[in-house]
Amino acid sequence: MLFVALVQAAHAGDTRFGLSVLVLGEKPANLKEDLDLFSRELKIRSHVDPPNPGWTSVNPDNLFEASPFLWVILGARAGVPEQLPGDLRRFISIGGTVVVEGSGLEAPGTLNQLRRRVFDQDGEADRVAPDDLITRTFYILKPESSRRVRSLHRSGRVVWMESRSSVLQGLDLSRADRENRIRLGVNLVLCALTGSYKDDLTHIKYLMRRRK
Amino acid sequence: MSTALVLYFALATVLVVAQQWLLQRMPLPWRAVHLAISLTLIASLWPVVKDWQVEREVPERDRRLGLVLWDRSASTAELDGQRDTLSKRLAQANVGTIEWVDFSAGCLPPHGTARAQGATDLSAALTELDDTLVSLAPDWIWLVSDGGFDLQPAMDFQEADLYLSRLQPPSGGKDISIGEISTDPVWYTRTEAPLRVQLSRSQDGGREAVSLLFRLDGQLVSTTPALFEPGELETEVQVRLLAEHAGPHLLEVQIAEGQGGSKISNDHRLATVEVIPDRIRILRVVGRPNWSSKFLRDQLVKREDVDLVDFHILRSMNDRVKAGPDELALIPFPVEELFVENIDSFDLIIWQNFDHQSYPFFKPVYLRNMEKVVRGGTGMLIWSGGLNWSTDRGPLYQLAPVATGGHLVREAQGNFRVAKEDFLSESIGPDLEQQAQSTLRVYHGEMHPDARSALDFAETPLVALREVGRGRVVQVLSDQLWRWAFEAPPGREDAYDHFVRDLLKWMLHHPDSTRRQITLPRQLAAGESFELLSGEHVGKKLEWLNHEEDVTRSVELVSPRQKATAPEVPGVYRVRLEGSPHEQTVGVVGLQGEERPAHQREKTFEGLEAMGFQSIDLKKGLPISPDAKLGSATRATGEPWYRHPLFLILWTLGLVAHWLILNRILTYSPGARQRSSGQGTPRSM
Repeated sequence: MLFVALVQAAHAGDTRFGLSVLVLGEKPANLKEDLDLFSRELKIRSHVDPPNPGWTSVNPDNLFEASPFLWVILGARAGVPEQLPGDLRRFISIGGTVVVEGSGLEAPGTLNQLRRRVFDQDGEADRVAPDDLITRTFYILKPESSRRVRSLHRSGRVVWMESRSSVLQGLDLSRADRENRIRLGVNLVLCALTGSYKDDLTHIKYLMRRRK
Repeated sequence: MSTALVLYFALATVLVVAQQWLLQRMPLPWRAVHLAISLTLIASLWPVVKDWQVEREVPERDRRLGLVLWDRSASTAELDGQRDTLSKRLAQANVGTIEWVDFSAGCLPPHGTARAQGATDLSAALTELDDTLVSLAPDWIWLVSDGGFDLQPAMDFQEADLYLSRLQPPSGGKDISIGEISTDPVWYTRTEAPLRVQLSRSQDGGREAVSLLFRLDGQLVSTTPALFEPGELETEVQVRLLAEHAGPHLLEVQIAEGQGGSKISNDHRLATVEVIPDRIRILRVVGRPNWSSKFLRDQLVKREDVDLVDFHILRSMNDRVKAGPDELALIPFPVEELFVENIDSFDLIIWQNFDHQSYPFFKPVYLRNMEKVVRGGTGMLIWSGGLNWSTDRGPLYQLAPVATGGHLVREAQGNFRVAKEDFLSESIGPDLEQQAQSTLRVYHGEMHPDARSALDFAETPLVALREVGRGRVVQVLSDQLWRWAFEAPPGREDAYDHFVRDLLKWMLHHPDSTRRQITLPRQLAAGESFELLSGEHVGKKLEWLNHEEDVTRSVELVSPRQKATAPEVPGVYRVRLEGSPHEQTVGVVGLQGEERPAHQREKTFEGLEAMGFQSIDLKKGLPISPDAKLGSATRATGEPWYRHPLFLILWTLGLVAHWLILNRILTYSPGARQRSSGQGTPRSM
């Protein structure tokens, strides 16, 4: 028998785009302010319509009760909870997209460990690679961005994106740096919402013409 | 040598070798007796392998057996009269037992399984009769036909005397008929398929032209002139036709009314063509990226048979991107290219939460073009969402099953209810109905009189359907169905997948998506009797509509299983329950393939005569007399030999003897005789 579980949670069932934020390790300072700022900017700049607030904090036990877009922030001394890789596999298999950002000395190790444990079972960990698509989903970003963010596509949709440096945390930077990060964040959101839409033939034709 | 024979000899060899090896310590007489018994039992299997039948003595009168092969598909009222006359004359002449076998496209019941298809196939009939012919071993075979078939070189008539009578189709002056139709074995959607049609005329009337009409599933798709040059009795027409939807299609070729000459029965021909889907071309316009649009895209892009042209409004007129045009990856919406130049190249248009009124560049002509192609057969999916747009006016109103006005939405709580007669009732519908009460945001409005709801939620239409012209439109009135994928428990993730797949099938006219209220054949011969399974619809009327939308007949359903008769006029009919929007297409075949020109039929008769058939005038004397040679005195009864009581006795005796010897073997010891000679002096240690 098919069953549709309708869960009531902060953004559960809301068709509007919302961010589920999972912090592993120490919570970065000013995270709430950074996320509020990003949500506001996303609403102002694009046709995406996040609710207010545009993000929800989740923990490893209630990943499925919020939005299909999970932003994992690896804080200091972050570890990978035992059941998290399995839950992330399922989260992805039912249509969710995961973004992982980590900064600091420990982050690359934790990120590698998390990626391996999520994708090694399916032999996909090595398919996580730099992605040019991220540089042209909304803003045209510099080519470095595609090296900074690596992703994994499955059946035409983006299921995993990772950045070894901060994207949404620490937005109290210089104006130019903050703008770059917000633009990258907007592109990641639209990548999750529209998949490889910008790789469609019609778009490529126009974008190539513009780049000439 | 047959497989059964090979197995038989292999079994016999193995048994003999095995028993000789097992009995090697036995005295020779015992071994010889056991070998004899084994060989007897093995030999008794021979009649089983050879399928010997008990024969019986046939009375002298019945020793002469004749078989009349009557070409049923050539029969007319006049010719049926000749059949009755022949039957009486044969009975009066006392020429022995006579078996009548009617054939058409195969051998008709009770001797065969074929149905009358309106064409003769003697070869197929003989193939079906093969075993019967061997067991009957008729003394003579009388073929009565109009010769409207292709003669196969390998026809086996056993060793019977062969007679042939010609049925002359009624002649009525000048006539033009449709002959063979040839085309590719399969067609592809959106690819024109070549079609060749042979036409012939009964007499040379100089330069002459007729119009040919081509229909697919009853819809006129092409008209082409066919031209006979002076001196020509045959001509060929070549056309290219296009099928829009996958699945089997009924193809009709017809000479325009009044141009086919004296006989109208040969002015129509019907065939079935199988159409394979090419890639499905889908145009989707999304007013705002959200989870509803994202999950639908995921479903579409993962299918290898879908070409998706997808457009999302990523930036509205009010958004402030804080960047120059050259810093943006946004492109202008190519509305002219999509909605003017290429709109007719799509199989399906998806309109998802697109508030077109907010964009001055979206001209009313685009909507009108969209309406035009949907009426012409393109599918359309209208998916509700939170933007301020409506379907209560303009071309969208002409297409939408439900007229919704902007933000008419409510958080509904309740249960699902599936319309029994639509496609969802066979897929996810039953499971949805069994679910506990849940909540869902549902957009609502006024249902169009021509529309129907396939799925309700909380007494409100959730999935509404409407057929507009030749196109099919689905309206999904909630933007939360993606939760069927994302919030489903493990193992139940495919509900949304099934839902989208079934929607596509219905909109694209896939035959699997058509619910059949009444079970009836897809193709029937004109006037053919068939069985109608009406299930729960007893008491209603079944209407047959022709090309002109006229109800040509109305059948009252009086029982769940009843006999009915196909219309006499060939063509494609749409059959539906009175007042129901669900229709089935049924093709009715006339005497096609039978109406061959005289010279072709004459060629067939010449071939039959070359095979040994003796031509007999049906209206004159009988070729068989009571004094003719007698047939065999015995004839197979059909009862197998191995059921004879002798067999039972033989096997019982054999098994008892085998059992006795087996006991002897088990108790036999070569040293026993020697030991017994020294008995009476117990040994002690």
